Amino acid sequence: MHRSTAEEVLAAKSHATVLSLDFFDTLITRSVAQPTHVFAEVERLLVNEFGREWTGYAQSRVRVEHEVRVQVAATGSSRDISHDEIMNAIQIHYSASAELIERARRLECECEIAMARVVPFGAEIAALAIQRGMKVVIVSDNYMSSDFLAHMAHAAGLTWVTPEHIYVSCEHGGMKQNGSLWKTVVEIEGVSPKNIVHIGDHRIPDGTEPSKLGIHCYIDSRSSQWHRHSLNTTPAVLPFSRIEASQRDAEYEWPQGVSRRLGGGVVAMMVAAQLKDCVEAVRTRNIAGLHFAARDGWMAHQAWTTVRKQWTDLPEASYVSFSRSVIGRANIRTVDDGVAIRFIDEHEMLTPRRLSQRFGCAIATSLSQDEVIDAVTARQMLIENGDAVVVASTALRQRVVGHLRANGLLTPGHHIVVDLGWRGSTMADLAEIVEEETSGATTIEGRFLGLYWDATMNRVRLPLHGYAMDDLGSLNNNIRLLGAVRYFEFLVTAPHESVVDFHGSEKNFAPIYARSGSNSLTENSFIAEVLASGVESAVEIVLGTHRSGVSFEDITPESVWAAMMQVAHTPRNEELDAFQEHVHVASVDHGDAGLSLLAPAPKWSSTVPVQWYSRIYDDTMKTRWFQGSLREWERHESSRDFANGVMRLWPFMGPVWCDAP
Amino acid sequence: MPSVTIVMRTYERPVFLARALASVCGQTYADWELVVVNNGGASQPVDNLVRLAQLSCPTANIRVLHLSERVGMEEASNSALRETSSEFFVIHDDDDTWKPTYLETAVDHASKYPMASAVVTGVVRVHETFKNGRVWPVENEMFFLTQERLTTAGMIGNNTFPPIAALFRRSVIDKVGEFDSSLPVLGDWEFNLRALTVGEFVFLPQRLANYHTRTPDSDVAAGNSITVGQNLHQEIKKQLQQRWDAEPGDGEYSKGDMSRRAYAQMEADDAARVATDQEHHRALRSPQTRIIGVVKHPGRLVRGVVRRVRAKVGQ
Repeated sequence: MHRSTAEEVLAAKSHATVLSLDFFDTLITRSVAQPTHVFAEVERLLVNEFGREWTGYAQSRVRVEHEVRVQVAATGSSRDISHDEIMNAIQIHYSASAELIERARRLECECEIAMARVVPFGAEIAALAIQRGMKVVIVSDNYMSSDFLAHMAHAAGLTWVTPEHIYVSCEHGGMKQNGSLWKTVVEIEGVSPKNIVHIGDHRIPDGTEPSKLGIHCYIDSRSSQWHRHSLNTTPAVLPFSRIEASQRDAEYEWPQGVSRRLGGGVVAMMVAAQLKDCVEAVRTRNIAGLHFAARDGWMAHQAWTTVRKQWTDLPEASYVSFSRSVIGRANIRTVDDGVAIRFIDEHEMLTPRRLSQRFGCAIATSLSQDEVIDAVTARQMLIENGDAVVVASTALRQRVVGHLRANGLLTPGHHIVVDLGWRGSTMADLAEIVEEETSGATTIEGRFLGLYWDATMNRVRLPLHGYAMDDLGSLNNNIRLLGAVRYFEFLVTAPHESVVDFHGSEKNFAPIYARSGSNSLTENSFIAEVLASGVESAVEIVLGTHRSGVSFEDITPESVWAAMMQVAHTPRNEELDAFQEHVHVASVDHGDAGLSLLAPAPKWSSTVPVQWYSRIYDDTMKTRWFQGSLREWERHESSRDFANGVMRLWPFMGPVWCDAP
Repeated sequence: MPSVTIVMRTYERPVFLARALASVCGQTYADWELVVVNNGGASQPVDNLVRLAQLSCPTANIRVLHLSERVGMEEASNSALRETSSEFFVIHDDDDTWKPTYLETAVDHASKYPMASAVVTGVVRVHETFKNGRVWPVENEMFFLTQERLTTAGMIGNNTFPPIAALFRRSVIDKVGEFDSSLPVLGDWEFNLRALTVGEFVFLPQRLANYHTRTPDSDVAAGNSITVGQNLHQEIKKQLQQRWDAEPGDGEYSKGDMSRRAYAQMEADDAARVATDQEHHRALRSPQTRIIGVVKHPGRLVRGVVRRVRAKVGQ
């Protein structure tokens, strides 16, 4: 998309004598991705200074400001609120002393100053206007005084700004949003509105309202489009917010696209978290081996190998490519209902031929090899062919063991195996194979980024650790994780397809991949960019060279969880747009085309019977990116009521993932 | 000597025990020892789970005390406590869990109140279903607990919190004696009331303890003592109140009378609170909405969640 340069914007209105600029996200932004995250930093400082009682301050600050706005609006006034009004309401909310609230107010002001950054386009067009002899004014709907806004501008390096240049709503009794402040601006400046050019980021206050008076407007929302949801404001979100802010600033020079944003943002934090978890483990314990496993561990292995060049105390790690399919099948000793249920999903439609391919043996049946059968029939067929399945599984097991041995996973001692998530079943199967093959000399421990409640039953089989989230977390967070696992599996992957078998000893038990080969996913440029930017940024975070300033110390379970939830619950429109075409293959043999991550809204969404909601919920949860689908339904008029109905039933799947304090 | 002894009683519930061990191993506070009391159950599954915990938590002091035959819960606790001498102790039932910062926060708070008998944190009651070795949460309930309910007057009518929430000072046992081994249930309540005679219980509102209870459709073996043994609880409660009839209470009332009267008052208070909560929730509903039905969620992923469905009037 072509955006006008500063030169072009001014050239188009060459007769203008006054350049008006909105303040926040047009001239000045912050070193965090959205304004409310300044309050998260205030909360962090308050908790450090006064204790845990201040946990949740940031969310309260957002809510209280909203309440004050509602109260003022209810009086019919067109004025804006002031910072003092907000802080007075905070004092009542907390029943706190005036001294404490004054401390909070000062901290907020200090944070605003410290976090102030120029918006490149705003600063450039202002400089150009000044050079051309135009008067530059700032027109802002804000609760901060003109003195304070000038102070912020100076802190960001804009020394030409003076309070006299600033029209701020809390001082002039009117707002841009309702047009009243614009009348004041025109009156005081004493020029024809046609001689004013205004640059801002919001359609109504910066476009519709000033246009009514004849002011020429130009909307540039490149900064504010990075905002997500104001209530998801907690100190834990700050590292991801700082990374997104650095991406925002970088994109003024070099637009990157969704894949690089996600790769360099949330994916990098997830990969860095995998490394953090491993570094803490290997530096404090005796570990016989460290293995990044399955496709989810590929990026972390790449990053680990790079980081080791500088952190030479870290042990070498292997990348063991396996899948739940091969490990699960290698562990089959008898074929019963449990095995049939595990390997044939209840919604699957299969053929005898595909069943044969899935289990690596000929499935005897009176049906044609290409006849489509439902899951019940397929499961029964599998049980009837149990002997053949077990023979094939036993042979597969030998190849799996060969692969594990080749990667050092059978050496005696305790090994850490790293995966993304989510139940630990595959890892438990692996642990049993390893222990049996080594007569207990080798043990393994599964370390994951996230686990949900089905991990609990596997805790009797091996030690499991969930870094950002585990089955001991809250019910809401368990479900939130479950809703997003397919999205994360799509993002955190390897350049190869899923492993469906291994070669024999003649090829050193190398993996055999589903479909077209070992590098088919790199043909997908989106994935290739996610992989490249994810590994690169993760290494920068770990080594402390990331341009955002986010470092290894900032990677904590809470901050990674916050990053994961920010992207899973509040995708931006361009992120949803980018995922319209992407599919996720979830079948155990990776033998189908997969499903779109975003579920289509049901037909006749506005009249879906209540009793269908549960079924739709289940299906979406099980096969798609639930929160993304919900946000997509919300975007469209035809499915918005349905989306709202889903959120009334399951409110924890709404945009707000950060639970109220 | 570690500063905290964690006593974990267990009997034939490996899935819960594995989860409870993970909850302890995941604590941000490291200066603890864990004694798993295998209360007469098979030894190998317990040993195996402790081995797994030791693998992932190699520096921790985790050991098992196998009791040759099943004894009461309180005797099981006493058996472990007699073998340890830490400054603090906690009774961590094998089906409950903590948030990772439970011990760190509770020990920190206990050090600020050196005269207190115990620190009690806020509690989340996790309703969960257990079937065929699989467990899943169904609903989280914010357990009602206040500082007032941690006083003698607030607690004499009923047990007001589960053991998982409380960190005790060891010196309390020296002053008031062990848990009463003769009690099959409610031993924690009886102990709490004695502990209150030598120091207050300090309340920390942060909900750092998870009290897990099973839904009625769960496998019977997974039940916990309160939900499964309602009648036994009532019976033992009566016995305790009769025992306390011989003890002086407040003015003209014996301690037993105080307990009965306080229980009646607590029941009334709880009923009023529930009614107020319901009224509050009604008020929160928009006048534009009405309840149009009840959906029992049949899903395989969030089984048993019952939620009311609202829709716009006129839709």
